[in-house]
Amino acid sequence: MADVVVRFENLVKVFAEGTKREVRAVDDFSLSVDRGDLVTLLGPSGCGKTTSLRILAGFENATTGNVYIDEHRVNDIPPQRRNTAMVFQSYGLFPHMTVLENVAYGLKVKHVPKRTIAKRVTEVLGLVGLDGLEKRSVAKLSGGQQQRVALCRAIITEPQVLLFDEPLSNLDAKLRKGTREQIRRIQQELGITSLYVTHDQAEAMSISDSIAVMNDGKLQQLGNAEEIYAQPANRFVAGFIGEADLVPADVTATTTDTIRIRILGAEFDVVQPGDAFSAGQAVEVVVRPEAVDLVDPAEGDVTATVGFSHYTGSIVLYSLVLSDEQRISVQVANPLERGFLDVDQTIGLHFHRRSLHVLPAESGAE
Amino acid sequence: MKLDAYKRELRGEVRRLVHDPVLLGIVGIIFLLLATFIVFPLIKVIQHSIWSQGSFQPRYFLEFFQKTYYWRPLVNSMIVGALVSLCGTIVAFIFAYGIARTDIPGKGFFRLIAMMPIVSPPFLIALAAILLLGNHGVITEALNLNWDIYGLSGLVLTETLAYFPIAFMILEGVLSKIDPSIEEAALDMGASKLRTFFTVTLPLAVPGIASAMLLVFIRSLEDFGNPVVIQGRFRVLTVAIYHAAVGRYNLPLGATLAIFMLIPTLMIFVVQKYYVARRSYVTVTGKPSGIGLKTTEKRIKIPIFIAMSVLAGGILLMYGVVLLGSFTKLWGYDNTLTWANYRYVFAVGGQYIWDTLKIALIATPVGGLLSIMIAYLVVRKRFLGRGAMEFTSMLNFAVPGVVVGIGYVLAFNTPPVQLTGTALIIILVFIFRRMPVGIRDGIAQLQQIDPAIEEASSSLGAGFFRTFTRVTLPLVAPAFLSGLVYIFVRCMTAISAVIFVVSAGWQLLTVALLYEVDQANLAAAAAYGYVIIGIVLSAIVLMRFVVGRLFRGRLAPLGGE
Repeated sequence: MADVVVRFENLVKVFAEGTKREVRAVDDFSLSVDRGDLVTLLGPSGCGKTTSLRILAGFENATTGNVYIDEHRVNDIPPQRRNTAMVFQSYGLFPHMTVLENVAYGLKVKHVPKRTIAKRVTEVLGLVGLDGLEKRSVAKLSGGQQQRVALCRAIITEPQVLLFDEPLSNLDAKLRKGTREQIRRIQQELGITSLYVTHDQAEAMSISDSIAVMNDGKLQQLGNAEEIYAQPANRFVAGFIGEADLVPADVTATTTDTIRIRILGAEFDVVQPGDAFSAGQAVEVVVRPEAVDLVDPAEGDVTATVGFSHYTGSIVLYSLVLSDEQRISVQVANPLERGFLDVDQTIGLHFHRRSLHVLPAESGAE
Repeated sequence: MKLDAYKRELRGEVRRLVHDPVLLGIVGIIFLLLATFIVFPLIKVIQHSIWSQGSFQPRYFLEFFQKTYYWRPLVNSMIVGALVSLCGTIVAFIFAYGIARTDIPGKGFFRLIAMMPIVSPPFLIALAAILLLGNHGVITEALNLNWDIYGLSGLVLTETLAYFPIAFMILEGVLSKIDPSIEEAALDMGASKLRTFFTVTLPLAVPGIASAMLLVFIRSLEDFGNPVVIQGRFRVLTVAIYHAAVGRYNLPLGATLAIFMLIPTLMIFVVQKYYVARRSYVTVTGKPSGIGLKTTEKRIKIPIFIAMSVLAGGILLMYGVVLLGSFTKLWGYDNTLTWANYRYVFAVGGQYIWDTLKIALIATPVGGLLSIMIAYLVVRKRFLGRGAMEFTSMLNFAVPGVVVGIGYVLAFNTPPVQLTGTALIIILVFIFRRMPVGIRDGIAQLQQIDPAIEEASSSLGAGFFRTFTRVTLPLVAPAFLSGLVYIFVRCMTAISAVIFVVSAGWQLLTVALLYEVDQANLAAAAAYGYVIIGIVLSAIVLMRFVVGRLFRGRLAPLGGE
């Protein structure tokens, strides 16, 4: 068995239980994080990701279920006695202290000798390129610098688990990219087991060893970036990670490697293990905008007319009308070279057999 | 189902407390203090009003409505309260409108005038009224008038001036926060300025006006200092309670009257807090909305300016006449200037000054710390009985001083907690009576501070005490210090509750002042008044200075960016 550092076991958190405002923020959530890994909890706001993180830190109590750190149950241990450290969305820096005092705080609490503290502070500030700013008041730093001080303050205590609560959402887009690379580099260098909460899929996909997609308090899918994008477990994950249209289809035959589907009047094999499907089953097919080539109407699997187009520079996104109920978004890269389609023009669609993904149809359509 | 959920929540909270022994200890101690010094005295008041010699005897409840002597003060108090509430709010509205919504000159001066009654002993105004309009008052004699300031007119005059500042603070806040674009919209649609005022501005200010009226009503109802000086034969309830409990030592009667005082004040308090205040249209965004619409029209501005000047002049005249009075030999008879009154105050009253200062210097830091501690627990911690803690600690906000006073007499005269005659009982009265303001300000400030800052501290391993002293306290320093100033000022100026618990061993300046008024020694009383004002002003200046020194550059902007 792998070396598990963090384990959530059937975690449930209900706020305002028994009242009209009752909310099931976390609903039977289980997850393990291996030593040295960075696992991201990804989901829309209100999906329970931050609540789970705060339960691990000890700021919230679990309603039922258990939380383990290094296989010790920590449910009843107050935050200050758990060996976790959090990097907050709002940084949570002590505004009345200097950079040095902020970073040294956790070590002072642990009665580490002064000389050691000074040495460690210089070390960690060096890691993020903030050395020399020890005496500066944190209020006088830029947002990016403040976030790096918050990171230093957390890692200096060498916690068993490092917790990130949307640490980059207060930074502008450019800074965000640089800072997330820095976080990943430091996390890997130090080998700190980390749990990272975000609603930004690009951030999650670029930084994580694995991603736990959450919705309505439930774990939807656990996997690495490629798995959750290419093989979404359900309709929610397909829609939340990247762009996708869900097209109803029927299974006509299956093999261990392929699924033959009838979709929009066309019939072909999708490259995907067919064990879980059977002929005659109603399915939905996840069609990504880049999974379709636009071809001459005669050569396509199906034909459609162009509804409208949306030019964003590197790509042009077409909304293609297949029927009154069915539209599909398709993107074409480098449109300046390939030319543009006109609205109402008829066009052929060729589906990439490897890029489609078949899901069992979910009852209760959107 | 609901019960199960509740039980589970309860178990969780108990577990949490047990695992955090420091928090458990502090919560326990605070509950013990609140129960002993807030709840217990109130229970004693109720008990003494209906219970005597071991049996249920609500004697004075039964007699209350039958004897004019008993119910008349309640009616009188209501009449005074209603008139003061009306006059005080009108005066306050004129000041607030002038300062917030016009461009008249001298706003700083007018605001200062409106704040003066807050830092002086409230009944100084009553003293001034006697010096000016009493039987031998300056105006009475100059105009050869034949009127009686002792009674309803005197009460309304003095309490209006003493308590309009409370209404002014509320109304200035409301008027300056009304979004000017709403009024601009009315003007834009063709409404005249006057029409806009009556159809937009005034209706938007109505909840604020109602709040102000109710609060002034409560203050007037529970005022003791002014009535005891100027009520004459128009007896009000606070003074009746004092005379029953202390004068005739009829504690059951005092307790019964106290109940009749408590019921209306609590009711008004609840209406104000839970009904009127929630109807407010003004959204407080935390940022001042900048410059509202300021009237520059002369036909509006000039009458307001004149009214404010007359009122300000009147207030200044009152403070001036007390100052002058403190330097005269015998007011009204021999107006020779002399230092004799101050020599008398420092010779006879030197001990009172010391006693008052000592008591204030103990009550102030203890009360301030306790307030912030409670505010912190209420805002930041989840524990069993948190709501009860907030409610109990704020209870004395609504309980009139005389009720607290009689409660302390009843509760701490006999074992288990015998405190009568000690300095401690006076200190306790000050602490538990003034805490609500400190707690309210502390709560307001804590809610502005990102909880992540304290969570960061505990996630880094700091326990309750370290987080509180190293992180929370420095961050709430402004509220903490203004709380200290408030408690100190009240220790110096308050009378209504403490007059019940002072003793030969421990006297207070305000009580000494009252004694001199009682002895018709108005000049000495005036000198006491200015000694109090002097101490209060020096303390405020000193505090500002110390705070400026301690926290310069340390109070960084809060939160993240």
